[in-house]
Amino acid sequence: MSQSPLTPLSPALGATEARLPPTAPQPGDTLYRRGSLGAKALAVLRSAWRAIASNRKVAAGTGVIAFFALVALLGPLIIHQDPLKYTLTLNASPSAAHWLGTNQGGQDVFSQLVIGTRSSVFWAFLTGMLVVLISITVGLVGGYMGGAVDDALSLLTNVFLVIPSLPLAIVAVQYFNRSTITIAIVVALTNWPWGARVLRAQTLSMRSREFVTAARASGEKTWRIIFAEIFPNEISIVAANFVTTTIQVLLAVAGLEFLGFGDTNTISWGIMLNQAYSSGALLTGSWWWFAPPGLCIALLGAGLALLNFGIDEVADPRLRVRRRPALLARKKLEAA
Amino acid sequence: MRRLIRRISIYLLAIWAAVTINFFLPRLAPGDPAKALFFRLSQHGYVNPALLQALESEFGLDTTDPLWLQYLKYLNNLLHGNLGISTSAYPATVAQVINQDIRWTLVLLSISVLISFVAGTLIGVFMAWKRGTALDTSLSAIMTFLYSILYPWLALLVVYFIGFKAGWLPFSDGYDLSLTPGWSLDFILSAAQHAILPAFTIVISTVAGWMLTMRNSMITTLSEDYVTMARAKGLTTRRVMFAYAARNAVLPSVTGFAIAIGSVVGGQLLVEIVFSYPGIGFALYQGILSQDYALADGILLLVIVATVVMNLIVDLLYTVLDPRTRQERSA
Amino acid sequence: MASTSFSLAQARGRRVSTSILVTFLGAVSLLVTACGGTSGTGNTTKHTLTAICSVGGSYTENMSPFSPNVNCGVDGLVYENLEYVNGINGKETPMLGTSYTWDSTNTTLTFKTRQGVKWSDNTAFSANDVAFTFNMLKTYPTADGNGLWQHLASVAATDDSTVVFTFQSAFPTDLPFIEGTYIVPQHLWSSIGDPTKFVNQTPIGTGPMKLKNFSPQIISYVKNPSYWQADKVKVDELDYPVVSSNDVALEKMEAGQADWTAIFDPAVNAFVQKDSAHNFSYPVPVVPAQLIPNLKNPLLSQLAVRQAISQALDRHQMSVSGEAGFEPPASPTGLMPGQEAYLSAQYNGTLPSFGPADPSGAETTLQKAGFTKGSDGIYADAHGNKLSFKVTVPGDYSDYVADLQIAQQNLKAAGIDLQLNKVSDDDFRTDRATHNFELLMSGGFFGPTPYYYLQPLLSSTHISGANATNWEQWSDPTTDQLLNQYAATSDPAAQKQAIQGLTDIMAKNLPVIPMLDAVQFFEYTTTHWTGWPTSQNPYAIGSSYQLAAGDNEQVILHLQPAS
Repeated sequence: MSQSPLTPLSPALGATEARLPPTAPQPGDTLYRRGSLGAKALAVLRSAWRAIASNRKVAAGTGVIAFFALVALLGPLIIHQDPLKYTLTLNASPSAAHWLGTNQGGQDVFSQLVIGTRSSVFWAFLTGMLVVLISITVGLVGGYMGGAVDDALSLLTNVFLVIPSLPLAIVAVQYFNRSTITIAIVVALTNWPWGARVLRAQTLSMRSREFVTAARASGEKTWRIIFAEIFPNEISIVAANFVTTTIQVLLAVAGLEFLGFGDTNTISWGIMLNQAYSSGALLTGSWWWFAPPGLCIALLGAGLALLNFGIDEVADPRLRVRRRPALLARKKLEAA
Repeated sequence: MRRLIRRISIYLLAIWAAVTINFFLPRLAPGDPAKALFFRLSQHGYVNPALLQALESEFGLDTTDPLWLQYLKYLNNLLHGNLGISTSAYPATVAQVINQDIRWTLVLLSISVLISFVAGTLIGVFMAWKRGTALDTSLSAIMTFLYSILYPWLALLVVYFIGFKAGWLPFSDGYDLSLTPGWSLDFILSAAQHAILPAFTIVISTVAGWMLTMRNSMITTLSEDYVTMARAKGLTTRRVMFAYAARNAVLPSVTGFAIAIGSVVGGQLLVEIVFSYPGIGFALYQGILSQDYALADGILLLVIVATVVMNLIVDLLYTVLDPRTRQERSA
Repeated sequence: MASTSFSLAQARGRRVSTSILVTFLGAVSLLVTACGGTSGTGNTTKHTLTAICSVGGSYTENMSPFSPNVNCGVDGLVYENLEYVNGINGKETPMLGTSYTWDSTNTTLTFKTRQGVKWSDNTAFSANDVAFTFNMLKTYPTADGNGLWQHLASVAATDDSTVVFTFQSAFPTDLPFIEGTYIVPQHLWSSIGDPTKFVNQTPIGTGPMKLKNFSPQIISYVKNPSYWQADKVKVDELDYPVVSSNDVALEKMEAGQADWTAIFDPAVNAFVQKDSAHNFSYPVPVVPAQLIPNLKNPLLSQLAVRQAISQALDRHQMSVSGEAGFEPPASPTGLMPGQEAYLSAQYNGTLPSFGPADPSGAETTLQKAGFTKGSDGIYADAHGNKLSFKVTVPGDYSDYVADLQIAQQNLKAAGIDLQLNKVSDDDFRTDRATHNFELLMSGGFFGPTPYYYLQPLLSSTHISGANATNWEQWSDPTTDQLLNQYAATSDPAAQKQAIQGLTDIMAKNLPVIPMLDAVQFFEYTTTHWTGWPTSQNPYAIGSSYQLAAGDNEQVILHLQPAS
């Protein structure tokens, strides 16, 4: 459902596949040692911090995401007004009293934007996690088990990869009562295949690694091998996948809400857009109503995309920008 | 060849899966469709219960057939192009409604996707060449932003600022309604003019993806030995870029093209809604508004089949572009 | 599949008309419009009216007036009905019928039909066409949207200009439905099969317009030269372009590319303000939008609880913030402006109003009835049953949702808890008809007199069965007796008296809680055409989509090119 056209082929994911050879840690790398999930996570966190500190894109992306996360967390503490409170001040343009004016029902747009951040951010991340969870399960189980299980799962993955997720989600969601949970479930069920495919490929390459063979030899249970041995080694790929998925999901949820499938007992960016569009905000020229929610979606999305591209650069040094490499190359040529 | 057969069987399976989902979703969903239809009709006044039965049978709601038989009948109907009756355009069938709208979507979609792909790829090549410059940095920043833009929101902005405010271009309908559709120059010009803004919106919101992919793919390719080799041989920059690097770097984009096509179609549905463009996206929206499930389902099936066909075309193209695929790879 | 007449007006929804329309008639199209423009060279000037009658996707061809999705312009403009009944004041204008009489037992209705009328293929119209049309409805009950044949025994033409309707028993209240049925030509329709499925590509009618061209994007009609009052028709061409959204509709109106529409959109106010000399909006209240309590609920069955809810509502705020000012607060009597004649004497001819929101008054009402406020601020009865209700509403009806969110805020101030239960349109209708709700917001049916609103809503005969419309389950012998009194007579004075009794019951017992007056939207510009219905001259409901049979025809007959 991504509305982002290329999500699957996004540099992040495209590169994830392409970069598997250079990035896949070799046996002997710290990451490949057997160890507790906690220790692995800690190692990932540490390298994440190093990445933030060293890469401008990662830093900028993290900053944007942190900003929206803070607004989501603290927003309700700053805004004391009920964002759904109807007043008699209709369609007012921005002023000191209403920073982003009011809408058709006299509701304060700024309050709606701030309070709506929580729902938008929360559901984007939660749904993103749900998607990644499905991807992990299908990808790892298929990749590790191989044989008929793998054939079946990767067939399923490939089939769902072909089915366009947004139209499917639109049609599916109309049969159920309007609620954010419905949207989240439908979006999760239609967006998992790409991640599953990437993780399966990675798991496949890891299946015959020493530490896995060793675990199998020592009689560990299959599910433990998959989730306690292999999974920790794929955390970095899962994290990158999570970031891209969250962009898709953010846009997908907003898209469905724009179409009117949102729960209007609550407020979110997508619901604001739907209400503005369906109440003639264009005709009344209430740009302060329809412009900000979309801008927030694009900004948060851009933050996630930056983080994602940054991660790629950290992982694949070839993508890092060098000063005028072309010029250098030309000089070399001249010298030759 | 084997790869192609494998892909085709996946596509057939995808269509079958979509059809099956389409069959079961309404039956899994809460609510009683027969009752719903009955009360919908009684909105307009008294409904004779006998009439209700007649309608139920017409909409296929009265059946006592076991589920598997209903399913087989459903498949049989689909094979004969029978997508059911559109409740919002009754007695017209879903196929008639779709038939009326599909050409608009096809034309708009193919033009905008083509422009977007070509422009995005070329800009990507250019940026990879200029990487590290201020131009690359600022273009990258803009593209990152565009990459995460919500289609319908961009469409709203375009409608408002370029259509409403500036009045430069028409922002609704597929052509000037005072003209008679046909192969007249006036009509074609008018249709082209009406397509500019929706196409522009789709291009803007999709171009970033192609561009960023191509840029990264190019940069990776440029560090390959054979490219360095070509340079060392003293070939012109243009030749190195296009004949050596770009040709290979474009392969991931082509694969991506196939996968992306589905989401582009999805995005176009949303764009059509905002621009009131007379295509199937807008019809889908109207179907949803009037709870015409048969119409929505029919359009979904069509979109899926179209996506699959486009995937197949891209696969064929890929086989031509990259001879390696003929032997290798099973992932 | 309504042949048309009056039917259920319920809610309008998301911006416009989409839901409203569908609700009204089942006509697919919602709005009708006309727009104008003058074109022409030399001394022959062609006057074109451009109407926007539906907001939505492409048209599909449905030119049968009995199709549930009939195209704009077919009803009333191509096919005419027997008498036009003004939905605002009940005034009758003879059309294909010239006069009618009831026999003394009210079981036989005799219509005289107009002579000298021709179908647009030049065949003469006669009473046989009328008899044919009604008998066709008997053969195809799908087309009999008003269920006339539940009561009719036979319909026959006794000569070329007389049709006799014989009822199984006295049924004078079926008159408006008979008057509103569109008459089709026997010589062309006798072999078409089911009229609800007949596409009717070349419609031949008696009305002022005939089809020029159908395309999915625009339907065009031209003046019918053989129309029986063709001299009154100044509209040479009538175009219905497809319009995809309210924004586009209003934009076309502002640009002078359309003259006539009927959309519900807050932006209508901006449209009128932009050129108040030419742009007008004249919404006509037709039926209350009401809070329907489930009277089988032990709390809502208590009058005090319903009264407290009603007292606490801020109808003014709902009207302004929820409905963009289009829908005025309702009257406790359930009557619309224009129906003052049906008020009992105590009101001196002025519709009573509910007055401003009174949360403390509501609390007093509750306290008197023995309710006490809990620590959570919500009242409860002696057994601890809290005044906490769920109100069911179609999630798509954005204005209803807004109204109810306001009600939620109002009721909270009076110690009553309200939760919105938003459902799909289908579920809404199912829940409503099966009484599966606590509270529910809905419009109602309406017709030329308040009876057509009150009878479906309050008659105990409509509580159960597939066609249940007494959603709240009001069951009261006095009410039933008054309804029967009305239905048994064709004497207007006796009917009036019955309605006065009914409206008193409405105001005193609150079987339902009226909130706002739902309106029929109507916008027009006088740039190209004048003579539109106005509040000073309400000769028809102006909406560009056909609501009561024949409204659009009246408008066409009154329009004059602007000089």
